[in-house]
Amino acid sequence: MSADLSPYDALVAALHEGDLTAAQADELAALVRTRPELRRDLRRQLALWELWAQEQAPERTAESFLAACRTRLRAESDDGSARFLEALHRRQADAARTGPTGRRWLRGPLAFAWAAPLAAALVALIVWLGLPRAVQATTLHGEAVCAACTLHEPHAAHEHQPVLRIREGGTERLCYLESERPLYPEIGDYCERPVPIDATGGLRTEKGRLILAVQALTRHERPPSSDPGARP
Amino acid sequence: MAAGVVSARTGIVTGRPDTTIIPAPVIARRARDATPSMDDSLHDFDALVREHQAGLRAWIRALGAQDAWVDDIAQEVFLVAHRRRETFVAGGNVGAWLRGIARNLVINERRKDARRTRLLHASLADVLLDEPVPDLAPSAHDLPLVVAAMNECVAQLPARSRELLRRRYAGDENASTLARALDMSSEAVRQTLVRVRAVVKSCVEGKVGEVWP
Repeated sequence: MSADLSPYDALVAALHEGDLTAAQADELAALVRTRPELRRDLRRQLALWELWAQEQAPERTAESFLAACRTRLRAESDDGSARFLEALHRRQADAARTGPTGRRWLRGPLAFAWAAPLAAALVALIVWLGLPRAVQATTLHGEAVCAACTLHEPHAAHEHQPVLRIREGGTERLCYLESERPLYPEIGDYCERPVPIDATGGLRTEKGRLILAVQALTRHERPPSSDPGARP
Repeated sequence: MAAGVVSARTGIVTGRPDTTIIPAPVIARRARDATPSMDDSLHDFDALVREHQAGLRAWIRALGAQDAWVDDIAQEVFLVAHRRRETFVAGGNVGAWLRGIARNLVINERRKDARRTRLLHASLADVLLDEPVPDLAPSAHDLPLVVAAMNECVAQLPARSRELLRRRYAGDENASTLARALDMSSEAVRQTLVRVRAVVKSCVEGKVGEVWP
């Protein structure tokens, strides 16, 4: 940066351009910490050019912002994502408990014969639980839409991030799909129109959002039924 | 609000011919005197967002949010406000209430792992956060004056500088991209932007006073 700029101006310029290093940030912080007038100036600059960016960037219009707010409000309405996830896990647990295998094999005269292998299995399970592993896979059924084109969210994880729109019990929930591989070829043109799919993977919440780390996808030719929801 | 032009981009009304020069104390007083009728907007989500989004986003940026995450945090503020609308004290300043929520969210953000944060570098975010929520920030009604002043000030710039600013913020092009497009060196682009920003800021403050605390 030019020699005729003060150190403060040079640092603020780097900040505006988004290439302020950690060391420069520390330097700028030290400067403004002891100089209230510089701190005010920095805040004014940030606010002023943020306003200007809103004026200039087409994806940051008031209406786009409002659309994104509405989408998130809809997604968080009724029971929130966390509660949805909790309910889903509860259903999965119930399904596991009442599944066809049952526990009858533990009863009866041969129960003792199971004890040794069972103990070994328990030890293996404890070790397995201690290891880093993938979240239990869940399959969700809904329609894939685009975070940018359909939901008008300016800051999805990446441009045109696919989002699974799940309609259940009269409410709508959004689940953001993540994957190392591009999902577009598997889903199809979800930017153009909603695509009914089943998505399987590890489900979690982050910043109030439901996120599915996709392991497998199945595309449906016909639209999903009226009350699809989760399939544990 | 007197007759003006609603910006298709931000929803801000600009172009009031009689509002070029408003002293800072007047702006501050208006912010303090926010009318109780603003309470109504709490029960109309769209109205709440429309009225406060521009100023709130600017405020969040000034608290130290990364520019790419400003909208994300601002959306969370409105969701929190909507959930807690019953806790808002009737007759209070909605703008100040929203800014308080924003500050709390940013403080929570600051506690996160540095790799996952949506804020500027930690040291800088700490300094920017180390201020109380001011009641004197420009109200939603005064922001149009700031934007109008900015438009006027930018209009006075040479065409090349205007183009530079437009492309920098409309297309989010960085200095290197702009340098290639405008046949300038990257360093020249940076220095021009520094000069232009300083000129515009000074011009805006000359028109509307020091609008930000």
